[in-house]
Amino acid sequence: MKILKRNIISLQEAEKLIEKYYEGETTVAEEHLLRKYLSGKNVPAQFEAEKAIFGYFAGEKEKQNVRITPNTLKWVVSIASAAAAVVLFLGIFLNTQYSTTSYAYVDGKKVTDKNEIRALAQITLENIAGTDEVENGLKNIESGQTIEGQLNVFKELEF
Amino acid sequence: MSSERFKKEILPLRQQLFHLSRKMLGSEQDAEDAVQESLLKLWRVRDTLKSYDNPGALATTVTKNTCLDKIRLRKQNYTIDEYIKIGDKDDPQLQLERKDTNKLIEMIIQTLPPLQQQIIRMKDVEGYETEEIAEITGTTVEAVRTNLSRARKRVREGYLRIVRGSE
Amino acid sequence: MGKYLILTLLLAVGFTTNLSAQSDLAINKVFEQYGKQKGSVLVEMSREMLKEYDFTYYKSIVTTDNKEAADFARECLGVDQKGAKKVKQVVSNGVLSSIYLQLPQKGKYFRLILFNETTSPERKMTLIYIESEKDSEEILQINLKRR
Repeated sequence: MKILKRNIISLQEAEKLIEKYYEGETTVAEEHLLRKYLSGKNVPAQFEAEKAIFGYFAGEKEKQNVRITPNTLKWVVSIASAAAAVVLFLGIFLNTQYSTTSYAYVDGKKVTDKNEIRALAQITLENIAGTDEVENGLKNIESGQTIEGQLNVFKELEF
Repeated sequence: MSSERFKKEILPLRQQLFHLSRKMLGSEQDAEDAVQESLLKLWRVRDTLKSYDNPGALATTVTKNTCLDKIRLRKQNYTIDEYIKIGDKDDPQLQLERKDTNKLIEMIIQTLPPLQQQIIRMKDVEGYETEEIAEITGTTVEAVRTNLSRARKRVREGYLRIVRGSE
Repeated sequence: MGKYLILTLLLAVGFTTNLSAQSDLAINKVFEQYGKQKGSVLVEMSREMLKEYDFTYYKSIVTTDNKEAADFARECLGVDQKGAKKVKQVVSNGVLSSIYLQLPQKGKYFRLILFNETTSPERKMTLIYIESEKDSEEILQINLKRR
């Protein structure tokens, strides 16, 4: 998968993912990638319906995240110092969307949105997990040996 | 933890709730849908379960109501075709609504069977994974995928028919 | 006031302990030098985000069209390999294209390094460092078979 600046997936990849989407087989991370792609500027006309659908769901998601649960408020209010309450509240709210200890960098630009980070990790793991061609013809790798060939996966390793 | 409570006290009742639904609705497929919808509703209120002495009674009530809603809905089924017919009349208000894609998608989703609506919301809006939804509804990942797939395809079809059909 | 201080301290401690998770390894230099460059994707995730993978710590880098980074990574892996519990390698056209290293446990944590380089359709290097409480082989089987 080629990673180009901010546009994480290509048209072909988008097509594949959209097909998967309609089969109900995409993961939350993959759907996040699609959402980013479809909310971009030059979305091909063939994806008109998908752009509308993902746009709608993105809007609904926004409405969800802004809601503050009663439990959070109770806990926050019970803290004595008003300043502390504000800082802690921000910390909790930000932590539901943004992580303070997890992050990613794409082309040197920092990413703190949890969903994006997860999606990037997913792609990275997939580099190791192999491609379609390799799926059909895996050999077992014996411990301590080196093997010539075009193998580039670790699936089905004999441990 | 309320999800633990849900799994311990509500999920095991699935069989009973299914039988109840089948009695009320007469069909196994409808009963299966009703049970899944009810479980999703109960999941939504799982935080309040601890305040019930008898969560089983709550589950029964929710299921009964879900079935009654289904029976009522059988009589009025607002489909996309009807919406298209209405939209063809010269109503500027409706013409405008057609341009609002968000409203359109929302409306289309509302014409979906209730279970599909719930599942698509949980996946696409709330971000639950398929495995989680399967666990909550006591079904297989495959069953959730099928419903999700149908729901999404219908939304797409509906949207394209309305948007392109009007040209 | 006291509660606030303690919480800040805890957050600070949590933050720093994660940063040093793999700092004793040579591959750490790969993350540091190439992580924030153009064409690179660097990901670091700690516990809270890793539940679905059964990891306790994850760090990865992917570089594109960067031969220097790939060669450097191989060098570092050569160093980290010493004392490793298990080593598996795949050689492609005379070059190590895939490396799997299981490092000695750090307390109850299993540690794992995965390296992979492809040259077509473009040169892409992937380097992943994982810590988990479950046996790394189990983890790999589960996660890589997910597809």
